[in-house]
Amino acid sequence: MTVISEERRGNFLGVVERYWKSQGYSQIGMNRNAKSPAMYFQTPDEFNVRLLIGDNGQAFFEVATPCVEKSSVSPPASKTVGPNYAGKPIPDPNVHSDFWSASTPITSASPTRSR
Amino acid sequence: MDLKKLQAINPSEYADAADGYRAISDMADAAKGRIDKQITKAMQQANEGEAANAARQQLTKLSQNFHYTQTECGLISGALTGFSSEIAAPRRRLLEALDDAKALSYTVHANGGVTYPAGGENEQTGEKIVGGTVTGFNGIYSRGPGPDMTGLRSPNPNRAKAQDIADRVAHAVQEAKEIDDRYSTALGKLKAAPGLAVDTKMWADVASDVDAVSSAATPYLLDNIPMDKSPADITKWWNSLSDEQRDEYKRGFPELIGNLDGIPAVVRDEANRENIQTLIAKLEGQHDDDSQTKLDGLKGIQEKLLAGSDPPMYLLGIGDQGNGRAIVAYGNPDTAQNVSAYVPGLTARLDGDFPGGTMKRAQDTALTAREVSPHSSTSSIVWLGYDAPQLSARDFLSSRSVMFRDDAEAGAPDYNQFMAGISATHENGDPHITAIGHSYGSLTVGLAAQEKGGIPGADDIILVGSPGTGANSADQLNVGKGHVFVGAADHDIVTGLPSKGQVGSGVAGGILGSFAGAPEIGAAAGASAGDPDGDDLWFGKDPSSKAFGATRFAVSDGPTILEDHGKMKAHSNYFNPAKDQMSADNIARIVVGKSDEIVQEQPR
Repeated sequence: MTVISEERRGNFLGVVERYWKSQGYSQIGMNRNAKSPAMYFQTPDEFNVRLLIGDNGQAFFEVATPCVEKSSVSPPASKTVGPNYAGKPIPDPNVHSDFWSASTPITSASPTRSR
Repeated sequence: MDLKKLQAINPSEYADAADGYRAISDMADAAKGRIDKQITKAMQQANEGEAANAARQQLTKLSQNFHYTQTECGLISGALTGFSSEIAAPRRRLLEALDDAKALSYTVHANGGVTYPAGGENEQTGEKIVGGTVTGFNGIYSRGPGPDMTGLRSPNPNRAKAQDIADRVAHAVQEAKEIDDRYSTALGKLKAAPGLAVDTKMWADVASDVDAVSSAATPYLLDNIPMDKSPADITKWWNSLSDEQRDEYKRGFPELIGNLDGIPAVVRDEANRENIQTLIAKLEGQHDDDSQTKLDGLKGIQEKLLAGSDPPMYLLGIGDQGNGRAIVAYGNPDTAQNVSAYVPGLTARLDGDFPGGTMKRAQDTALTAREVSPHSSTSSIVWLGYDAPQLSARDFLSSRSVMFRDDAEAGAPDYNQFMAGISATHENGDPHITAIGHSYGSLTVGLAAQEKGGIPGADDIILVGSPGTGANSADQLNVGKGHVFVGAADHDIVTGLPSKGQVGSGVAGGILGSFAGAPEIGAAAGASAGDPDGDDLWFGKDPSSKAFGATRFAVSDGPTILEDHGKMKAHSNYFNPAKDQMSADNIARIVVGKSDEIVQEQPR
């Protein structure tokens, strides 16, 4: 999993935020903590989605469905890009990215900083 | 039991027998473990057919027989240990009295009478006063002529000495009789019919066998276990025992050890995983509604214990008293860096909803904490150690609800005792501890926090869905104002209830009226003469108010009562990531010691 440096975490959220907004999600909450930010959005069909950066730099997505009747669900069919950690302890990010792991902040203005 | 028997008895023989039964208990436990593995293997190989099924049934029966043997032999061992310990003292006193008699050349008879020789001097004749025989007074007054006091002033000095010896003998024999009766009764219950066929009735009896042995051995237990001291003293005591002694206490007195604050978590868990089975068997034999309700809860917990969970469960308490008792930790509280202990509130009890509902909140907190801080270990506990009021949503909406402090007042000291135990048994001594009160449980936590010294070990306090804490300001909670955090959903009516002073002034009618027609209920109750700022709730100041001075964190509004048809869901979503991720995240951040990272909310 990709190392997202502390300096780039706000940008990472910004990228995800732009995409979610483009899909018509509405924001319901935001945690602007620099090291461990989080944001909370709701989709047009009332799924709640949350992105949180844990204190080891790992990004965690959670999705909550609207009320449903309990039924069994088959596991996801799509393949992971990297190793599949489903059902196993999630490791610290360990993949370097020139962009996301850089320790300098992005110089151009980003959505989370411009407000 | 009589003089001869007490003189002849060898307490160490009973202690050896106790060790023997304990060894059998251990062996039966190991044998059961091996057979269970066989059964699991067989089931995994999914052998079909009658022969395979019959073999599996036989293995299951054998496993149950070993389990029964393990439990009952453990109880016998406990009884024999207690007896051997208690009988030693009266026996020693008897032997001392007999030695004294021998040194003086008095004769002690089988009935306890003591014969003494002539002695002293008759003032008139100068001769020795004759000897005689006295009987002892055993300390128990009964009808009829009282103890013979005439010898007290006899000029034969032997008489007084003989009387003293006789009294000591009588006392010792009486005490031995009482001890013998007590333990004989208990041991008499620990019998199985020939051709051991363990059925439900026998298992239902095990619970009363556990009680019988603990009752019989009470003097022994009180003598050896510092029950009147602090949980830290219990921990010291437990650490001072040898492995055999600890095994003895676990096998002989499982219900005591499983629920005793100050005993390490893994030991409590081991004992309670036995206790829950005993309780289930007991309640299956009782057909009243209350037993069946508790049985639903117990079975649900047992199912989760057997399935295993993530994080692993530790059963720190289980019982059927009151509305039921259950203390469950997700993650080992003795090794975790962060420990949270949450007290549930209105309608919480040991029932079918408890495992999937109340307990799940503790699990969700542990899982969310793991995302917020993947490298720190968290143990998240739910503490149902008291009777919470069973007021329903309907009671609140009809405004006929009245909340009393008694239940919380009863629970608060027990919660503090539990928390003292958590600190005492922690292996490196300084975890980050958070006390969490939900709903009426926030009153229990609030009262606990206001006791002298506060909640033992608590660094932070979280109050969610609170109708008040009994305090008027956060700094009364003994963790420092900056360490009190409050979550209150806008549509949670429990956090917006009027104080008692306002109910009479028609505000309650307003709530009813709101339900009937208006789109939603406003959060704050209106002001009244008794509550000029309008920020008092059922129990003192609203903890989410500015005046209270706590830090309010962001939570979702929750559904209105109209939206969820009066189910008061907004009162119960604080821990549930699927319903209120923001609240769950904020709670988790506080629990892992990162309260500086929460999203704050304006106080009311």
